[in-house]
Amino acid sequence: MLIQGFIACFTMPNIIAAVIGVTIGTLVGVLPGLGISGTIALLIPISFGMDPLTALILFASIFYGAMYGGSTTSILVNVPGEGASVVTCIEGYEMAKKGRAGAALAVAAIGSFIAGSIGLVGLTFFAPMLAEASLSFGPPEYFGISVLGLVILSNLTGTSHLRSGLMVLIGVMLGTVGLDPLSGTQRFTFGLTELLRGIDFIVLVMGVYGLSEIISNMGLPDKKTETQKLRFRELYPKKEEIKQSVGPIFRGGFLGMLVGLIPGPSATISSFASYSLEKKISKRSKMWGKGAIEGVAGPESANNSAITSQMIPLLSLGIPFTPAVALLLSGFMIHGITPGPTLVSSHPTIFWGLIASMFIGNLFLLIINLPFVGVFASLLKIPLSILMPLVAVITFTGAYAINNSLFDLGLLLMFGLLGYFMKKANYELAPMAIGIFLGPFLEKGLKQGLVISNGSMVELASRPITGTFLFIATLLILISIMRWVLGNRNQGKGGGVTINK
Amino acid sequence: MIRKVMAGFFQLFSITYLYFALQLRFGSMTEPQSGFLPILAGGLATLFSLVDFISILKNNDEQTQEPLGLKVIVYVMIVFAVYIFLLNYIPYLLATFIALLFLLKISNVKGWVKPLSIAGCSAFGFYFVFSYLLNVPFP
Repeated sequence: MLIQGFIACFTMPNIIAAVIGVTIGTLVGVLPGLGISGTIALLIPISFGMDPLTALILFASIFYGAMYGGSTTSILVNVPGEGASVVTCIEGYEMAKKGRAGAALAVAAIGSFIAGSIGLVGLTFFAPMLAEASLSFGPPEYFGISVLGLVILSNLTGTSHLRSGLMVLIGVMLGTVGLDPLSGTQRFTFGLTELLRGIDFIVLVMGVYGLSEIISNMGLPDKKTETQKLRFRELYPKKEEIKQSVGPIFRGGFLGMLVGLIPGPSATISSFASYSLEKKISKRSKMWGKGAIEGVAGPESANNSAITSQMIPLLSLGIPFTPAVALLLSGFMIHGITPGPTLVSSHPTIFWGLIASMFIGNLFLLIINLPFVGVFASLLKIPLSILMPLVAVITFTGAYAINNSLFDLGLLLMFGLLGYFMKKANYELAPMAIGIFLGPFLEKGLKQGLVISNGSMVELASRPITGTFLFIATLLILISIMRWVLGNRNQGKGGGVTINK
Repeated sequence: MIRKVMAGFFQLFSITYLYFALQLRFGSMTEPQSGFLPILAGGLATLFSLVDFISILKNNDEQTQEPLGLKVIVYVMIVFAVYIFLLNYIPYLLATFIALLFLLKISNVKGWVKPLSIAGCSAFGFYFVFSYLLNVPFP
């Protein structure tokens, strides 16, 4: 089956898509502005004319490319391109200052490849198993998963559970705009026909992530970016460095694979978790903070593996838990493919082709990015004053191309402004984005579940899987409330504990 | 200040949403209607946003933040709004050229030769890529 996937992938258009995806992804990861979510959002409308598998290969390759691009700037410039590359700055830049940038980049690339492959093995085995098991899931189970996913997301994102929970609710509320999926009643359209189809998730993501970032960067003075010099011959790590990296790479791979299953910013969490783990068990404690290669190998491997693992709930259940994966789901659906329990049986070529494409994308990442890393790094010299206006126009044009609607551009502008002020005020964007996406799933599951259980929440919760998910979600909410109440009490007594986490 | 404003905004948004949600039919537990989730979500959001707003007012711990740069934001938003407006009436190529030119000047690109040439080449490039290569039908 996987072999069939490889055969389907090895066509010229698909290979070209993988190469382009990895290159674009690396560019995106290196340059400030769009981010993974914004870039995939931009490319979805452009993929309309493509073969579905080719389009999916393109998107998957962008994922890997962006992760690696983020690590390039972390190592060479001490500026993380993505959240998951923050921790790479600590050791990677120190290595670069000692003239070992090439080794750090090579280990990051090799580690990403190996760990990404570990994640893919997990995907290859777990996704079909989970898909098989979820064939018996009904609306109550999907309601339970959606609720649990949103609660975990609000707990893991940001510094305040309350604020993240509020963002989830705002997202769910925005998701109700348009037609009620079950009764067809118009909701919150205010007579505007453009709102009958609801608020497009892709436009929202492009606005809050992409346009808000552009607004943030415009008007800033152009900073002279000091990039560490890099020569091609310095790309090879020493024997000692390779030996020190092997353990962290494999540990990071397995850690990322497990953490990637958790809803939320799992790539970022896995990179931090790997860094902490490697630091704890390291026998070279004096090197940490001064260029320990384990601090690059482990986190970079973990985040790549986590990215792959995030696909497991998407492909097997059809439920995304991060904005970027939700965009991938949008891409699937635009091409007539509905991920979920029946994907393996109804579109086996697409399913196995996508998995095979991730192996190929991973491989191209290693082949293309490493030799050309100097070229990508030189892009950082483009002044933001020129780059940001260009990215802004690309964003507007891409948003228009989704539905050929100028109304969407108005929404883009509105969400861009909202995203900008939300970031300034420390409100998280991801919960709102996932809320708007999962809200309709949640509503459909809840309404149909209540009908099935004759309106009884007790009967709904007594279903084993639904009950388990709802129990865990309730427990997490209660723990959050207790921590908040205790925090308030301590503050009242003059303690140093603040309300926010 | 910005945290108070945003907290107030979300409070107002939640209350407004709840007001309109209450005009939909809630239904019952056995037969939930179109207002079922909106009323629940709106109610919870109103509560959360109220708690958030009160906690921000009580704490009053404005973290030091970089300046908002409101002047630049206003100019940028005006350019974007005009760009959308212009797309209704003039060709994409021309609208994009004008928008890029103004955005480059707002970004402090000095002189006129550089912004004009970047805006011109880029507008043409985008038009070629999106219209010819990707077949996007512009208004």
